Amino acid sequence: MAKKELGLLGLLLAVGAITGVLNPRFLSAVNLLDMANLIGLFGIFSIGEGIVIITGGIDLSVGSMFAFLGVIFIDLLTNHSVPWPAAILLTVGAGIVLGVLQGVLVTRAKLQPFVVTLCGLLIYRGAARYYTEDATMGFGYGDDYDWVGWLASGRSWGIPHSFILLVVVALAMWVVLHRSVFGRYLFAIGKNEEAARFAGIRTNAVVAGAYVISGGLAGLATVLLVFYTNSVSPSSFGNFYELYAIAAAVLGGCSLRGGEGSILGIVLGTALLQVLQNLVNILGIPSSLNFAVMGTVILVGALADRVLQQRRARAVAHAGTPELRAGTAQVGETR
Amino acid sequence: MKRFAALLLAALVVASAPLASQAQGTKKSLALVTNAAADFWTIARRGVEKANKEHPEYAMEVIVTGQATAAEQRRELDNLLTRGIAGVAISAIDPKNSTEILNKVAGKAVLFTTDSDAPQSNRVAYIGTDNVAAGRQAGEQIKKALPNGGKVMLFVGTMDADNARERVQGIKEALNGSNITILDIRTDGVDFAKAKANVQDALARGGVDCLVGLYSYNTPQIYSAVKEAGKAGQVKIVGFDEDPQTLRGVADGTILSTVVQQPFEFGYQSMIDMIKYMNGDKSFIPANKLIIIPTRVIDKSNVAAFQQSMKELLKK
Repeated sequence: MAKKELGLLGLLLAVGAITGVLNPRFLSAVNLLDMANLIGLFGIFSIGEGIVIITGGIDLSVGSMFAFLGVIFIDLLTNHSVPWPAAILLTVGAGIVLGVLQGVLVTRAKLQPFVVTLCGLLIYRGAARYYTEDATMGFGYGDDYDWVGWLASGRSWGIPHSFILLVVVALAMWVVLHRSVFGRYLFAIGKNEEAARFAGIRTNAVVAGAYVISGGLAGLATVLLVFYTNSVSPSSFGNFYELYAIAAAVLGGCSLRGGEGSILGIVLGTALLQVLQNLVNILGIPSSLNFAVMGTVILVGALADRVLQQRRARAVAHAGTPELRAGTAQVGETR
Repeated sequence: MKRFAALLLAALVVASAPLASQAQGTKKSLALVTNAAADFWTIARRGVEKANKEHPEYAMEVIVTGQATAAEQRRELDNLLTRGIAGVAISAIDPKNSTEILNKVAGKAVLFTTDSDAPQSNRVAYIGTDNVAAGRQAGEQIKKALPNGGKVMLFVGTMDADNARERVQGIKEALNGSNITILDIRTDGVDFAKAKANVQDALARGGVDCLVGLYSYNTPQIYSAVKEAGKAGQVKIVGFDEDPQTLRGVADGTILSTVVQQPFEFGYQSMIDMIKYMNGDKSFIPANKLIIIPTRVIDKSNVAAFQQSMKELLKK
């Protein structure tokens, strides 16, 4: 585990311990499992977001993608009687298609990722609202979908399925990012795309691949989110969720300049965000302060990280390691 | 340059599509501006459709304020004025600070408020629920749920909207003097997942006997969170509005009752009354300018019939 992740884990444990002392129910099994469920829901697409950020890009479209794919998913199930395995595959597939589109626009049309995915955010949201005429889509009066609902949002041996799925996705993506050639390319491109291209990496394909992963994971997360809320209001479903994902990735050590980050860090970042939201409710802090508490803790964490980094850099400089003396201003983690 | 021209052309084609559909005919147009996107407004839309069938000489539309913000409503109203709208019925999101724009609309068109009132504005009348009375009704249901007293937690989208404040006020009035206390009001900013997480957190925290959902989506989220926690029956639920899941919960006994408004009547009557007013008939407006459409309590005794009528209304 790198120092950054250790620091984040420390912050997470510290926040958890303080909350647990103030209200022991924070550490009750019920509450921890509820949080695990939410960490699963938010972690899956945060990993996709993190991978895009590692290439030096950004994906602002995931929140709107949830609304768009969500209404399509419910429509397929309820109005077109598509069998649920096919509906899930189609939803994930649609996410992948949107990822391909965005990847092509970024790499072939050379548009900036911020612009491409910002347009995605606007277009998918509009498409979702138009598709449903702004009506909230739900499963109606029946309980025909209780079984799929259980599969997507239920629990086995007390563990929420979304959390189990997050573990599976995180392990798979850990291999992809940290143990595969593709993963090395992602980091190389994030550090310096031109150098990576001159080194013979097919940068366009690799970058597009990152957006495809993000789209596919967003499709998967859509299915889970739909069954968590049981209904999709196209105008508000997933609003701002891209920011939760970006915050989780950045908290987890991804640099918005690209080239840095890890799967473990992103998962820990997601966990911290959910813990912060949970503690507001558990401690009975007014809901209105929800975002303020989140912002403050993130800021404190970022500041502490910065101070520690500088202290480390200074210590290294004093120790007189010659190759690092030049780079005291910024010591990035190069793995 | 060529590329730019192509882009411009594409943009023009896209932009002209809605224009073409608006330009047809010179019918006077009436609009219902909502405060959010919800089934509630789908039912109101059915009411508007009924009114339009009776008065095909008007063009009627429902404008959905998807982001549920006062800023978006302001933009929608400006757009409507630009298009020369004849009448607007609006559910005001931030009435106190929207007086200026509402009066601008009232100066150029007939302005009614519906669902959420803006009493300081120059609106002709308000058509809708008396939310304080609806809150009192819910308060009575809470007393019924907790005959021996207890602790209640309320869940709502935002507390900026007057209808939320008034419902809370009504509940407080009804609970006044009883041994029932309101623990807290949790808000979620109209994020359904957050709404559900709020309920789960309340259950995990414990010490609460009755959960109350103030907005139409809050009650279904309470219902599913309580059921998943295996606390159906142990924790009482009182709700507002008529989401299918809410009615399902009332039918299976998990939810004691829900206080419903009559959005169909909001949509229908606001259109019909605007037309009456434009034709010079002002006799239907009471002195206090409040046209109240009463709320109803749906509990186990009448839920089946109500579900049936909802299915009819929401049928495409």
